[in-house]
Amino acid sequence: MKRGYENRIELLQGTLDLLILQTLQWGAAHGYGISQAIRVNSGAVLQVDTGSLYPALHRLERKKWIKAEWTVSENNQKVKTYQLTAAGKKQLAAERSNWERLTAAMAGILNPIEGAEGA
Amino acid sequence: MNIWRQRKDVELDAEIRSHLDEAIRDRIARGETPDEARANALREFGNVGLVKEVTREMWGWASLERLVQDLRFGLRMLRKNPGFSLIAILTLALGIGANTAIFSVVYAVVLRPLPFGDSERLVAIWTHTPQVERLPMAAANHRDLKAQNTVFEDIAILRGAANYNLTGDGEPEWLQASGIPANLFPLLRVQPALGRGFTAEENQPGQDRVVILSHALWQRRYGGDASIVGKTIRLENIAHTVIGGMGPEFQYPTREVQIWTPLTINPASFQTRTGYAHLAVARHKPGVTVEQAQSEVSAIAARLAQQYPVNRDVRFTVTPLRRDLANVAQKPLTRRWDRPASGRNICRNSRSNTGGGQH
Repeated sequence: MKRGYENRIELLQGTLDLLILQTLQWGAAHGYGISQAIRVNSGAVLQVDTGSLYPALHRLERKKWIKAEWTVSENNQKVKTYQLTAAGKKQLAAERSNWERLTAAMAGILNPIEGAEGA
Repeated sequence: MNIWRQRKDVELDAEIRSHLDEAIRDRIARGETPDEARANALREFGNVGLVKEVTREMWGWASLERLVQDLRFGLRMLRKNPGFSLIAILTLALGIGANTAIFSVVYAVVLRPLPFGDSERLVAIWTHTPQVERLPMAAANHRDLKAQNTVFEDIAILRGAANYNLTGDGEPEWLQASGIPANLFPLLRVQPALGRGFTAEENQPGQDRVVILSHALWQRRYGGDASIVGKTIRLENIAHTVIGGMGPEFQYPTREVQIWTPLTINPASFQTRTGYAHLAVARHKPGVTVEQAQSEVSAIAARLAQQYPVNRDVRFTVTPLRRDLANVAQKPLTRRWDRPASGRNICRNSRSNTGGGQH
């Protein structure tokens, strides 16, 4: 069971970090808010597992890309919210460009005919 | 489990709880009943314990890193404030040193058992008069106490200290000696490490030319040679036969004693009933308390006071031997730190030291 979680973290790690950083770009959010934002923005295609989300948040916090703060939510509840740090913003830019290069390369491989026709 | 980690755990619990609360609220807002919402939110969240566990793994060595940072910070501050550091270190050093010193004294005086068998039953008996509250014992009073009491197995008297010049077998030496009776060793339940103790005959004047060596003297001057037994040494230029040697733990009545000689008593002192010159040590019978022993010696003292005019104001006091030896051990501290030795102090010191100072 635990092994299953670990494998999923391994698989998701790069993309999940990027998704979290991207989500926080628009402002501070708590864990549940982040998972909902990813779900909604992906048209419910991406469902972030809590067993991946919280380790990722705590790892990013330790790397000082995000910082946590206890605040009171609109429902008047104490929640731990995360926001991007300056280092986090740089990291987001770097990961975005990595991702774009990766997707472009993937697209080039997956759609060679389209690419050849276009050329 | 350190404090930092405990706090992180509490925070993680709160974080997960708030996640579930938000999820339940959302589901209720979408039309689920509270029970459904709760069940579904929990199912969607998954195994709470497992999520906590994998999240905790992300903290890794963070707490250790913080400890290293704290240590670095501490060292930096110590270097930046050498004056403060010095005072802090000195304070610690003095504190530790003082505690060690006090413990050593307390251990020697209070905690370490007396090096005698069944030592809890040993008491010292002192003479008490209106003029002086702690006088040693007169031989006649000892004889009467011994004959009339029912609480003690035995009572022994000894001379605290005498001095002898040891000559003839090397450098002349001035020795502290103690005159002891044949019944002292059985009473204290000690055995010589070498040879034998004194016999009652050797306590008779004229038959007392025998000695027992302290462990220190035996080792230092005679190289620990067991064949010293039976040889003669010269005290005050009179030949004495060595009949025994003690183990290192036997240092009675004081640490300074280097040689024991047989106690002899001038018969005249039984007539005068004075000569408060002897330390008295007794072993009370099993089951007898110090209070019971005290009340019996008080009763005997009252009888003797009626019988003999010289005993009119004489009383006896019983104290556990441990406390008695503690008084002896306190002496150097008192002498050094209390005040310059006043007449009274000298008097008290010499009494506990020599058992009367009358010789």
